[in-house]
Parts: sequence; structure tokens; C-alpha cells
Amino acid sequence: MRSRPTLTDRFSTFLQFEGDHPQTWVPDGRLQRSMQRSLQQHPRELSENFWALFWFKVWHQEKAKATPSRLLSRSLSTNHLAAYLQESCYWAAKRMLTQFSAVQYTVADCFQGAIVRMQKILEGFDPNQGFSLESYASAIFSSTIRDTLRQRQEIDICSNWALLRKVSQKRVIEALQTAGQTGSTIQAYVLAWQEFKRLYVPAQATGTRKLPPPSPEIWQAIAQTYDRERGSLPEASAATLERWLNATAQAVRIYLNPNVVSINTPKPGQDSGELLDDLTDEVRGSLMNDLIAQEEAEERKTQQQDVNQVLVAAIADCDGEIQQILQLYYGEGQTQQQMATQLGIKQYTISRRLTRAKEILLKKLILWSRDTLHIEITPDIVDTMGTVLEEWLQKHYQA
Amino acid sequence: MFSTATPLSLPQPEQVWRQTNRFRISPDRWTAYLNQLAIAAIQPWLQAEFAQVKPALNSVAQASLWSCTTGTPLLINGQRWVIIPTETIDQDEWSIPQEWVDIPDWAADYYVAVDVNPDGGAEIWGFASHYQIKTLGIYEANDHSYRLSANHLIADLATLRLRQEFCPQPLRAAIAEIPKLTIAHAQNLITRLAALDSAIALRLELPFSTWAGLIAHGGWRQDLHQQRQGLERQPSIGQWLRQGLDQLSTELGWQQVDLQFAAVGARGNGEEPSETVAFTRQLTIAGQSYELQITPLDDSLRFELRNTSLGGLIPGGFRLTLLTEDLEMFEGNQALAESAVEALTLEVALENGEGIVWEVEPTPDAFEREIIRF
Repeated sequence: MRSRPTLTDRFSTFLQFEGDHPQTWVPDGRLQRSMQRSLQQHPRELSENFWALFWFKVWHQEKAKATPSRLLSRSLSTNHLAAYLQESCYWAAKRMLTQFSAVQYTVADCFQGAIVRMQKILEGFDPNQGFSLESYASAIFSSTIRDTLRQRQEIDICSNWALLRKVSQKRVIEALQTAGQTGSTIQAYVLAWQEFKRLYVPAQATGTRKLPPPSPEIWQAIAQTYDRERGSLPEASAATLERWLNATAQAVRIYLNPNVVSINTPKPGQDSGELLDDLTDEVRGSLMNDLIAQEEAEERKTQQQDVNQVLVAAIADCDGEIQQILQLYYGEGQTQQQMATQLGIKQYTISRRLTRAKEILLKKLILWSRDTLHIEITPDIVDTMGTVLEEWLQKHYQA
Repeated sequence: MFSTATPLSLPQPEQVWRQTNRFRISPDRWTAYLNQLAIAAIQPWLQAEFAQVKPALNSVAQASLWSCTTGTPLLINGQRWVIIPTETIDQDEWSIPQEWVDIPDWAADYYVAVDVNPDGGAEIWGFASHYQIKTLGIYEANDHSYRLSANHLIADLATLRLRQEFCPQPLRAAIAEIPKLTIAHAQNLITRLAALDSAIALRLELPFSTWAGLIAHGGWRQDLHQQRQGLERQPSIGQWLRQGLDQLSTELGWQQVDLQFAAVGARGNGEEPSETVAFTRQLTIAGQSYELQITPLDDSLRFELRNTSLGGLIPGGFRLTLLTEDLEMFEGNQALAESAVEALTLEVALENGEGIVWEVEPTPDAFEREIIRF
């Protein structure tokens, strides 16, 4: 994949796949014009970071106006940022697929499944924490793709009955809604599912993915407890409940398939509808002026370079044991089990050293953010720093 | 949020499965099985990370708990942790049974979600404190649980420790006391619940506070468990005398001792000594071994706590307490060691069938209240 040469391209083009390969960068005319116009007004701002921060601030303003998220996802700012983050998302997909050695899934699948999580990324990002949007997004893309791959691997080998035992109530409800069910039908299906999940447990230690259909006795028990709890919900025989639960399993299977998720969710930049741009030029101009006045973007860029230096120095300070373990884990992608075998020590010793290593690095990062950037350390910030550190380590050791 | 959860290795599932065959109700057995897998998987990891990891309950009390809800309490470096196995593949939110959050004696400092797949392995999904669950979780009246969004889970131990170091939050949130049940009420409930079809989920049958009042009492929970599994109610001291100790009491550590030789001549009144037999149970308190002995007398029971090592004493500050079945104090129910003493002794007169609950301070390892019936 060739990277995009111009600033305008980087904020206005989208990756197109041909089969599993990124083929070309497809420009979106509206985004191109918007970017060109913005660049004409501010010809001296040539850093990618500056524009990422600028569009993020615009997005933030729009969000502050309580724009519904459906509309927010179609805003100019979201789409500029989605274009900007295409490459991070692509590399995250590529890296996670290698880690999972999941040959049956394509990079394109993973990419599509992750890029639709733009709103989650923008909502979670805080430029005051000392990380770039790009690093933060990259961490979220990776964990989203990892979760998706895990789920898909499991879903593909589970029978309907096994699948129903392994999904959360939240997912069951979402799946039924997506399948077009409403109101009391959903309530009845969910109650049937709750009773099924509780009563139909495997009768042996393993083989939980290939569960056979419940026996007539189990169906009878499910029907009995359903009837006891149903209140004003419709009556249902064992046969009806079986039909409902099969329909629920089907809905869940479809819903958890990321291809379908990405079809149902508006794709940034590939939406045929109008892009929304409801910030006045005045508001936008003042955001821009603030940014320039504070030289905020410049400052952030320096901070991000400093983060790098802090972490590189922190690793250099660690003892050989820890450095070795970081190298094997992040650099060579070994599992804890593999490392234990190679080094001839227990897996839990490896695990403890990894925890220790993360603790040392994260602590340095926190101290530096607190003392140099004067960031007030909150539990949320510690969590985010942990996530971004994990991503940083992966990239650092694989570079 | 981390892209790498902490992997754990699963023990032999078949072996663990066999250990759960005492559960006659399938969903209860599955709960016990998943919990045992989770504990077996996380234990070596915990022991590598913490100096002291102990079960908070004995195996008998733990079994009766798993027939009420899922989760296993541990004591880790003096803090209380609850391990909760999860099976869901979508990890958007974590569901924590209300019992672990709102029963004062059960509430813990930290909760750990362990993802268990008997066919695939186990990993630590994340951690949360009681405070986080109470302040950030959403209460679900539907199934008496708290739902915590995955965003609020602490990803790993490094993050957990650093949060405590740099921005400490309280570990516990305030919770209300659970109203106490009378003996009659509790026994009524036990009979009623035990008679329900085994397909019915008991924990959702009663208003939460009534349910909590019942099962927070180890003795009542044991009675409920026994009856629901179709077993005898826990036998009385009289039955112990006539039929010998039952299996459950043996598992709790009760042993019968013959006092005849020791007692000969002690009374000297010509009558056959009534105390020929006693029952003892080993207790571990602060790393030391003690013994609680119950001696049946004509119309009373004598409770005695001793140090089992030769010449060993009961340290000052130890207290032996007897409570009524519904945990009320009564006159003369406590023996306190003002200074180191040889034994703490209490005698209590009882009606036939009346229950008594013993407690020792400091609390013995893996302690759960049991009802001793006369």
C-alpha cells in the first residue's frame, strides 16, 4: 500500500480493497474541496498533526451541540478524520490477523469492521493526555479487531445451541432489534432465551461448542419456567420456544458477523447522502485561530516525540530480564507459553515479569505526564495510558 | 481495553468435572464446574503475584453457595476478592450477581472476571472494585445483577496498582444492612424454596433483601442446599451420637473423640460419666492450629477452644462467641481471653432441636457459620 503524498489526500481519500488487497485511494470530492479550501485559508499549516487536531476540535464542537450520533457520523469532521485514520486501521487489521494467524478472515473484513468504530474513538480521545489521535485510534482499532476475530472464530465453530449459551443479553436484544423484531416479541424471545441459557447446560466437561439440541425434558422445563415468568407475554409450547430460539440464534449469527455490521452502519466517505457541515465559518475560524495562537498542535507534536523518548529511555533502564521478555513478547509475538518453554521458566513467572515491565513503563509515563505536562492523573487517564502503551510497545518492537 | 488479556492455563477439565458430581441439579453443577475451572486456572497466577492467597470459604460452604449464585471469594493479602467466571464471547459489559455487591458479608474489595471456555482455555478479562461496580455499574432488576460496561474494567494488574498509587479511590462503596430474618421465617422460606421444581431459579424467587438475609447465613444456606439437593437436613448432635458423624460434617473437619479414659475418676460421684464422647474440629487462626471441642452434656453443650500444640495457649484477645440460630446474643454467650489462657469454655443449655452458631475472633481460615443442633 502506497501512502498518500499530500495533506489534502490524507484527509480526503479512502482505501479501496480489491479482494483482500488495498488497491487504490479513492478521493471524496466534498472532502477534497473542504480540505483545499481550508489549506488555502491557512497555507502555513502543513503538519498532519495540526489538521488532525483541528478536525478533532471541530468534531468536538459539533458533539457539544448535542448532534445525534447518527448525524455526527455524517459530519464533515468525522469524515476527514476517518480518511486520516485509514492507514492506522489498515495496519492494525494487518497486524492482528498475523497475530491470530486467522487465515479464513480477510484484512478487508477486519478493516471494515473496525473503521466503523470511529465515533467510539473520537468519544474516547482526549488530546490533553499527551497522545496523538493516531496512537489512540490505533490502540482501539487493534482491540476492536482482536475482539471481532475472537468472536468470529468462536461463532464459526459453535452450533446454534452453543452459540446461544455464549452471547450476552445485550447482544441478543441488539440482534433481535436488527432482525426487525419489536416490543413484546423481543421480551418474549429474551425470556425464552434466559430460561434456555440457565437450564440447558452441557452434560459433560468439554464439547461445549457442539451442543446438540436440548432433550424433550429440557424443552419441557424451559416451557414450564417460561410460562411461570411470562406475565402478559404470549403463551408458548415447547415447540414454539424451539422455533423462537432458532430464530434468535440465526439473528445473533447474522448480527455478530462483521460484514453485516459494516453494511448496516454508514461508512464514512462512502455515504451517498450529503455530508453535514453545520458549524459556521465563524466558529470554525475561531477554533483555527485558537489552535494557531496556542501553537497547540506544535506543542502536541513535541509532546508526542517526548513520549517516545521517555519510553525508549525507560526500556533502556530496565534490567536484562525485562528487556528480553519485552523483546520476545512484543517483538517476536511469542505467547507466554512459548516464552516459558524457550526460557525454561514457569509461565506464571513470565506473566509476572510482563506485568512488572508494564508497571515500570506505565509508571514512568504517568510520572512524566504529571510532572512535565501537568496532567491531573485520574483513573480514566491511567486506563487510557495503559491501552496506548500496549499499542506503542507493539509498534516499537515490530518497527 | 488492552489488546492482550492475561492468559491462564486450564487444568484437566474431565477431572474437575468429576469433582462436581455431588450436584444433582444440572445448572448448579455447571456453575460449580465453571467456578472450579476458573479458580484452578487463576490460582497459580495469583500465587505468582501475591504473597498470600487463601480460599475465603471451606469446600462445604462454597458448594452451598454455588447452588445460590456464581462466584468464588478469596482472601488475597488480607483483601477480599471475588472471582467470577464468564462464558460470553462478546465482551461489552460484565454482569455481576447482586449478592456479591449488596450482601455486607459477601462484598469484596476487588472482583475479577475470568473468561472460561472449557474447550478453549481461560483468561483474565479484567478487574473492578466494589466502588466502581456500585458507582459505574447499572443495576438490572430483571436478574438481580450489576452490569459494568467493559470501558470501566481495569485491564490488568499493572493498571490496577498504578490507579491505586496515583489516584486512589475507595475500594468499597457504602451498602445498606440486610434486614434479619426470624428463625420461623427463615425455616418457612427454606421449606418453601426447597419444594420448588428444580428447574426454577431460587435466587429470583424472593425479593432481594429477603433472599440475601436467608443465604448470607451459612447455616440456613446449607439447610436450603441440602434440602434442594434432596439430601437430609444437617444432622443434630443427638444424631451424631446415635449414628456417628455424617459425611458432610466429616468434610467440614468434625471428628469424634472418646473421652471415657480421660474422664474416669474425674467425677468420682459413682455415676457413669455422661460425657463419654466429644466432637472436635481443627481451626487455623493466624497461622496457628487450634481445636474447637463440643461436648454433649445432659441438657446442654460445652464449647471449648484450645491450642493444639503441646503447652500452647489461647492468646489474649481471642474470643469465643455463641449465638442463637438467628445470630442474636444472649447472656453469658461470650468467653474472652483477657490474657493468654489454656482454654476458652462456654456451656449453653438447649432445647431439643434448638440450634446454636459458634464464632471465634480472630476469624479462623475459610470460616463460615454453621448451625449446631441439639
